Amino acid sequence: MLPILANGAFRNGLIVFAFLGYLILIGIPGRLGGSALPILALVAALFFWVRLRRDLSDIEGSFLRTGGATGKPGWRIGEPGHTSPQEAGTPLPGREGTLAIRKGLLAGITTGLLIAVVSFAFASAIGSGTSIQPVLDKVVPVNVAALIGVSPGQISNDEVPPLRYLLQVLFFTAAGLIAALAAVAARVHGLQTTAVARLSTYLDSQLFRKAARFAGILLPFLLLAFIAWLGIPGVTAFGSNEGTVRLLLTLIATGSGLFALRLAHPGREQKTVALLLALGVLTLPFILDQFQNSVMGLVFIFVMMGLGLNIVVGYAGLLDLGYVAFFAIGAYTYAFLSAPFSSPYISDLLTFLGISPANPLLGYWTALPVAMLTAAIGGILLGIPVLRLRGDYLAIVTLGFGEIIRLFMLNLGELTNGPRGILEISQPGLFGLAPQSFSSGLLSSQGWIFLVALVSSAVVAFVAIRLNDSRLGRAWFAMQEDEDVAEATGVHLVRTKLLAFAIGATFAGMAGQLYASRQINIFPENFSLFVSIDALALIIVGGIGSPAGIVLGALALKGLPEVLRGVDEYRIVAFAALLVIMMIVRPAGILPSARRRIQVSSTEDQISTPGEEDLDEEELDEVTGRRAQAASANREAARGQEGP
Amino acid sequence: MLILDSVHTYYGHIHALKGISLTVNQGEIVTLIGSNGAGKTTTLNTISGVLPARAGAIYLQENARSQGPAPPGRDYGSDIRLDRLHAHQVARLGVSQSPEGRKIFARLSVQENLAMGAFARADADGIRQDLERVFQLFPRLQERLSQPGGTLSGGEQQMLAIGRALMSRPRILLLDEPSMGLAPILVQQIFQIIREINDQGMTILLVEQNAQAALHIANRGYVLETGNIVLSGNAQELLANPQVAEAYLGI
Repeated sequence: MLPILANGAFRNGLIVFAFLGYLILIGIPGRLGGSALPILALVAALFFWVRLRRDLSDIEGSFLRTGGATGKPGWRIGEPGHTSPQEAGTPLPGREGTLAIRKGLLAGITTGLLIAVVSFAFASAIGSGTSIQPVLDKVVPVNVAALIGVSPGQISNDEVPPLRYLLQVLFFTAAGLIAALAAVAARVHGLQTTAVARLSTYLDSQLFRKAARFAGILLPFLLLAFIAWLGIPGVTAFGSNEGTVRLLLTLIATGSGLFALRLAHPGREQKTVALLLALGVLTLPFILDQFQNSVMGLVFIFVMMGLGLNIVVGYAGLLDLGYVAFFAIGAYTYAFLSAPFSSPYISDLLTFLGISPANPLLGYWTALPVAMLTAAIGGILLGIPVLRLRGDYLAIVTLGFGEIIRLFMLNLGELTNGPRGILEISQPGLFGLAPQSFSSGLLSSQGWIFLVALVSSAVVAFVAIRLNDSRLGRAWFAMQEDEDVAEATGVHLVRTKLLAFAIGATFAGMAGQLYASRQINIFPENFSLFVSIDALALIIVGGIGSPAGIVLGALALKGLPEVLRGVDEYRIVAFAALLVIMMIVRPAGILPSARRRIQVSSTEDQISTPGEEDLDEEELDEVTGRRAQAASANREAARGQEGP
Repeated sequence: MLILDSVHTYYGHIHALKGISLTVNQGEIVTLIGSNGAGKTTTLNTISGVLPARAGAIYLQENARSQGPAPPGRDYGSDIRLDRLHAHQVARLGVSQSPEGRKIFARLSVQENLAMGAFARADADGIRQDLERVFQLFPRLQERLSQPGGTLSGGEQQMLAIGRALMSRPRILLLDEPSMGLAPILVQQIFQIIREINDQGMTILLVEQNAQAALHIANRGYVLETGNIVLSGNAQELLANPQVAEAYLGI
């Protein structure tokens, strides 16, 4: 028993059991229904993976501690509980890998056995009629049945087949094994384990890589086709969960599309994939229903927000916590132009000027430049006073600015109609057609909003990507790294900073306008601090500085919570756990930008050896591709030199 | 071409430069030597406009040209008071600084770092020519073109910092401790390259702790001590000066 405790596997099993036990006691399996066991096993696997991954990096770290060949003492003092330098010595090939797999298996079996014992206890208690419900109110047949994978009736009648418990144990054992394999596979280059090395040569083989790449590119298209099939009237595959599952599939399809784009080779292949994907995604508004479209519309409004905030935070490195202000400015500008009758002051003014306030002043598309410009001016007005502030101070001041705008909207009752809000904002039209005339049959009203959001965010993304590689983009990055040096190379700091604020605000203004027309009625409380936090969180989760990452971040942060509505009050907890795990596993975001990856891995250097798992195949391809590009550019430059 | 006339610089209440006057002539290497805290870096930062001068004047003289014509959009006019300009304006006038501790943009690639050096220029052809020149001086940079600056070795980073400064096609190059933290063999190499750049006609103001190496390649030198210039003269004279030898050359 003692050696088991010492290597931590048993402890890991216990910790996971404790966490899962809590989930069981609050009745989560009952809510998840038939998929309870796989989901719990997945949670366990994720936890095991994180733990094993850490253990393995500690083993590598022990190389550092022993100081390698030089015998110099490492910077890090061995912590109690870890293998001492002498013991670790030079790890035998294969030893660490097999040890990790053994640990994973052991932890999985521990959890599985404990879960099985508890399930058995609950099931027999309920079956024999002992009432434990007064003490543990969620231990009801539905909950326990979902945990074991049987029908509630079987629990009540005490006729659970014993093999079911074995299945539970097997599920968690498999979770432990998969977690261990995944953790070892990521470390394989560092460890050179024999058994795993053989596996990895197989995984490294050309054929496997090709197959994986092809499958990766094909996945979003298959998913899109599946979603379309589900959209055919009469087709149901998921019973009562149909709507949510379709939304989840839509999120996954869109997200995997971004990965497919990365997997495709740059050049014609990538262009073809991009074109097909664009076509596929553009059909989504037509095949989704009102609910899914409304969620996706919001997701892409936040994509615009994220891309705009990314310019300020990711490119220029100015932490802006009041970004909602520009969103609100855009929304209210359009609201005033579209529904002047809702604002007492504006309708008085228009009546005085002899214009009827009953009709919109401008349509959606003609109002767009106005909303963008107003937001840009707001951006500059915020930018000027905070030019000299950096870091925390900047964050606090911008935070205040966001609140000021919200309070303005709340208290300038004459202009903004206060908490009663601006009502009846019109939707975007199409070449003079009123939205109602074309949005009824083919396209639901939310589908139309989603379509507009898709097109707008594509434009915004294009601008953002171009800016990233532009002269201005370089100036932003340089400024972020060192303001003094950037200035000494000729960067006009004031202008460059204000441009970042203005462009970021413009995008938020666009998003705000679309948001206003999506909501139809807007109120000051739509523009709370949480909008800023959401926008910031999604770019951090997605990967600061990376447009593709931001789309993924928006899908995950604005889309997933809607899918998780089934487990309502616990969804935020589950979501938080997901975020924490993600930040441990990929600290630079899901799809980090090349620049950001450098920064994070260079600070990681001091903690552990740089993670090889961060550079997976696609990224390697990307790097080599970029090198090849640079090389050919050089050759061209050289040729240009010889020419004249 | 560059004249400092009793320049005073402060860090808050701390009087860092107490009336520095010095001259750099066209085509010269002038070196500023002195111990830690003497004010060498402060002098360079004051010239480049990163620090404001509270009193005195800094002139950039007319007709002071780098090799080749002025890039379009840049005016090499008559005497200009640098102390009245912002850092980015000074940079645009052709005063280029390779800062202490190199301070390359770690997350930008080597290519982008060099492009940042040419930030104030719009003449694509000239930039390409200068890029070629930088690659001739530092072939290593060409090998590392797409690599992030932060992943370069110390010596390579120093090359990149000098290269970046050269990319603006400056009239005068301010080099701040190019030998800092480098192995002796690399120091030698860097100084050789500085000599080479100067042979091509570049005016250089060199700040160094490594007084011996600096004086060996310089035409003239100034010795700084706690914000004052205590000695100045021909580099050979300074090398021979027993005071200098004792205090800075470690002989």
